[in-house]
Parts: sequence; C-alpha cells; structure tokens
Amino acid sequence: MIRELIGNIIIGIGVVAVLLGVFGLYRFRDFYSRILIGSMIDTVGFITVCLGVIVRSGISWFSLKVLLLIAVVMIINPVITHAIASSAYHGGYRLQDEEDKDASDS
Amino acid sequence: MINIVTHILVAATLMTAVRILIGPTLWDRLIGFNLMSSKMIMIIVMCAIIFEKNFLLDIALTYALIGFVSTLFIARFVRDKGKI
Repeated sequence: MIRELIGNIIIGIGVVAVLLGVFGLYRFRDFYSRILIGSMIDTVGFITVCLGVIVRSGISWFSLKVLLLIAVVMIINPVITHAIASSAYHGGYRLQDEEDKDASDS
Repeated sequence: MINIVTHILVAATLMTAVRILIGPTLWDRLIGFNLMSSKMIMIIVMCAIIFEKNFLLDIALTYALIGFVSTLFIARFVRDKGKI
C-alpha cells in the first residue's frame, strides 16, 4: 500500500514535468529554443513517469518490460532530437540575428 | 489517480497536436510529432496498468521503434532536399 502511494507521487511529479514541457513548446519564439526545451523536459517526464510505474507495480515481468521501454527511449529520443536539429541547420534554417550578422560580415 | 493522470496526458497530447497544425516551419511539425508520439507511449503504459494486460507494453515498444524510424528518415529526407 505504501509502495503504491510512493509510486503515485513519482508519477505526479513526472506529469508536472510533461506539462511544463508542453508549456515551453508554446512559450518560446524561435525554433532552436523550442526543440531544446520540448525534447529535454519531455524525456525527463517520460523517465519519471515510467520509474513511478515500476515502483508502483513491484518486481515482476511488467516492470521489466517498462525498464526495457525506458532503456529504448533513453537511446532513441536524443538521437531523434539531434537528427531534427541537424536537419534544420543543414537544410538552411537560420535565426534572424544570425542572418543579420552574416549579412554584415560579408 | 491513474485515471486522472491518463486524462491529463490526453489533454497534453492534444495541446502538442496543435503545434503540429500551426507550426511555422516543417521542423516545428517534426518536433511536435516526436513529442506527441512519446506522450502516446505514456498513455499506452497507463492503459496497461488500468486494464492489467502485459501485451500492451509490447505495443508501446513497437510504437516507439516505428516512430523513431519514421522521424529519422523524414528528417534525413528533408535535409538532403528530396534525394534519398
């Protein structure tokens, strides 16, 4: 019973982190701030929610599968974020200030 | 508790879907898709707790891997300007 309570508290903390990530997705004006805040806070929220699920359900096959899910997401989420940011940079998307600086240099 | 968390996560998923609709650039839409798929994985895990079914976690794992492959190859497709 006490284990369920602790797990619920950890899941609540993770949901607050997820909501902060959604707020940050609308708070910032340019793309690179949005991709930083959104992906980082969302990964933190995902890991915290799944840790809460593991604490809540104890040691079983269920929690082992959730642990495998955490491992997969910890590998692939930074890779996806890097791929999108690299695609934006090499695809020609620049911020407004950098464009002004490039124009004044040349 | 788990029911309330599931409802909050559904609301967060819909708010992220709005970013896909209004995103000014293509990459904003891609990051919205990525965040929405990770929230969908969380909803599937919550459903696995509610219904007490183990196989829903396999579906969540498959969803994560397919989202990874699709987002990565769309990003590479856009970066190379249409050449595969």
